[in-house]
Amino acid sequence: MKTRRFDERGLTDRKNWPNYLGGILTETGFILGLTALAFLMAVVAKAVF
Amino acid sequence: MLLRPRLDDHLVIGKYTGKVIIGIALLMVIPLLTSVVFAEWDTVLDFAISIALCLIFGFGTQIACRTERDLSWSHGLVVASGSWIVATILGAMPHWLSGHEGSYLDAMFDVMSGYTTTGLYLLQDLDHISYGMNMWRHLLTYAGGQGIVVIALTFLFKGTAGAYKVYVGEGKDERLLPNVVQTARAIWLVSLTWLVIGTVAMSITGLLLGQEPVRAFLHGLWVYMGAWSTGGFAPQSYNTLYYHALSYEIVAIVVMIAGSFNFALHWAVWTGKRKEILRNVETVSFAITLSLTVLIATFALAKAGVYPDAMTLFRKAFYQLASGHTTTGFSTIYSRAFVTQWGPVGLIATTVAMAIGASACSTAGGIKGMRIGIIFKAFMQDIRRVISPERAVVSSKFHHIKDVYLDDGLVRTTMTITIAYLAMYGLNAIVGAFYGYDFLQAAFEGVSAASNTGLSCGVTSPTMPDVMKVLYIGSMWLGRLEFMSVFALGGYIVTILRGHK
Amino acid sequence: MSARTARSLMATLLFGLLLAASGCAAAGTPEPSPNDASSTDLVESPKKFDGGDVSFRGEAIGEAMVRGDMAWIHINDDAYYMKNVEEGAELGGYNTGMAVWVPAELAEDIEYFGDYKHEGDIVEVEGIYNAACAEHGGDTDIHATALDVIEVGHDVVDPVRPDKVVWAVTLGLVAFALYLFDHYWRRGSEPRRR
Repeated sequence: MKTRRFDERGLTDRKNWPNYLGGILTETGFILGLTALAFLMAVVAKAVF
Repeated sequence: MLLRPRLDDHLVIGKYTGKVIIGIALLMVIPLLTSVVFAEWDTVLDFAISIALCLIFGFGTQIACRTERDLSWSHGLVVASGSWIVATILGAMPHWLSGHEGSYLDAMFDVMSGYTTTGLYLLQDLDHISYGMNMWRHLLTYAGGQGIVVIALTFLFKGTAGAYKVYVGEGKDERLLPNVVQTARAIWLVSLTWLVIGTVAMSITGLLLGQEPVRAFLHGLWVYMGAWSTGGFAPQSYNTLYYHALSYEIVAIVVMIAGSFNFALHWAVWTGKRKEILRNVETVSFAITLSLTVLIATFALAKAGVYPDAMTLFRKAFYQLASGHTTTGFSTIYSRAFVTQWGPVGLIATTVAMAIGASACSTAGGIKGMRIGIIFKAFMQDIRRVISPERAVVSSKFHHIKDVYLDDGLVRTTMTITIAYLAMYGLNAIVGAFYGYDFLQAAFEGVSAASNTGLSCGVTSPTMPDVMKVLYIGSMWLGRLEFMSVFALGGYIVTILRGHK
Repeated sequence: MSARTARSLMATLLFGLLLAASGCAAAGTPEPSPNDASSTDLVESPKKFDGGDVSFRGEAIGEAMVRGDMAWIHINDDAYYMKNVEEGAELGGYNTGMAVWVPAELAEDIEYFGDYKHEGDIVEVEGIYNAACAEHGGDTDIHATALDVIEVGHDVVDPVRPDKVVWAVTLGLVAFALYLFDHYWRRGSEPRRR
């Protein structure tokens, strides 16, 4: 019987993992974006002073 | 009129508090096994004694408080806040038995700091503590970040309806999935997946940086736990300055910012709503306030000429600010360097970042991005009201998983909690100043405790007045549970003393 | 619970907390730093010492992290550099020390690094103090050119205290008895409930 609801097994089902890993990469990308922005600020700050 | 609780109320509260404490006993098995592996027999005994005490309390309450009643909302809040206190008193036993704490109060300070993912500590001679003890310090911060009740919920509360009420009392009111137990499982899935990835990344980095494999793994696991739970404990007294590497700092930054995200956001992004990360009120608010505080600190430090070039400036400014804003508390500078190198502007920028904090329903503390976002939107709405024609209806909405319209009730609760945080920050600063500390430093440290950050500029120390230790313990507890459940516990005690029958 | 019992419970709890709080009065005379410019001085007055030659003595802790020809070591000049808490030293505040960047071959001379089971070698380094090192991401460190082992460290025996064994066994038995009582009582009462 197929249901669309998540059940216990549904959460860790193998076919969900590419989606989860994609999520982790998205989060990491966002964080590295903020990091790059901060680096840019440091470069500008050092150029100013 | 307050109703005096009946016997039944005490029984149900006792029973569930006892269950949470049994959970703490089970948690202590992990450090005990760690000590067995490394043949640290004295520490093994410390944990054996502590586990026995927790079990005596746990099973004792199960026997004494026999009831079939389920929890009501107020019970849930009382259990959540009360069990944190009992868990702190009993959880402090291994710290105290280790001989590294000046008093039992100091031990309780460290444990409350761990559970609440703060990261301040009073433990002395950290560089000579056992692996078992270090495992316990980091495990309790990881467990506290998950919510010790969530843990008990997953393993011990077999799906009672009341369980959700305790869960809310712990400051996590998001439902990722329709059912609470499934929500708890989804939270575990996110945390454990990151645990594996984060620990592997940190261990490999540590290995490449010259650590022995066993130490690289243990440090990797512990620093991961400190970062993910936005806790800030680290295995050495040098904190994360110990590793001296950009790579380690970047991995730590990724883990601590990811740890400061709302679990609902994680779940949305993980289940395919990738754009959510750019639209969510909390990530937007976090990105803006983090960048602003980094900007201020970076320019202030550049002007003062503290760091020789752009790279060093970036590494120091962004790491401390990201750590402060996510309320983690890792640092790569000496505590006193905030005062002796960073100066007033750096201190203020970091204090503001800590005060704001990160996301709701995460492991982070502080006022939180959600509230900052809502207050900002409400403020803009009021301005638009003033400049709009009198009969115009000005509505405003924000995005959190879905679009939510602002209503006055929501703004009101948001303001109440925000004011409670600000009052707590203010109180800590004033009490610190009263005891003779510099006001700015007292404010920095007070905000750090109440926002569950754990950065220190040197105020926190084993020789700090006991009143301030107690105040900080209370602030960490109130800040982590977001006031309401602690107020419920206060109400419960008041009604016992003078409520009406 | 009557109001009176509740009140006396509260009073006991508060009294207990006060008692716990008062426990931190005990203070001995912790070992002072052996250095003219201690790690605390170096952090407190970065401008005064920055770029200058320093000689720094203390206990090597943790490990040497070798990176190419060089290595990172950490030297503590705190209250525990002669004897640590596990060996029965008086509590004397937090650990404090300095990170030292040293040629790897010199770091190899260090036999013991301080941790739970070891009191590390006491070493003395000579080098330049950097409040915010340009080479190392702004870290506060000492770039050492010389390292001497002053005193070789030793293993720390961790004696098992007999009173702790007694406590562990006694409390363990009490907990087990309560578990059995709870378990069988619950099982006994189950059929009646259903």
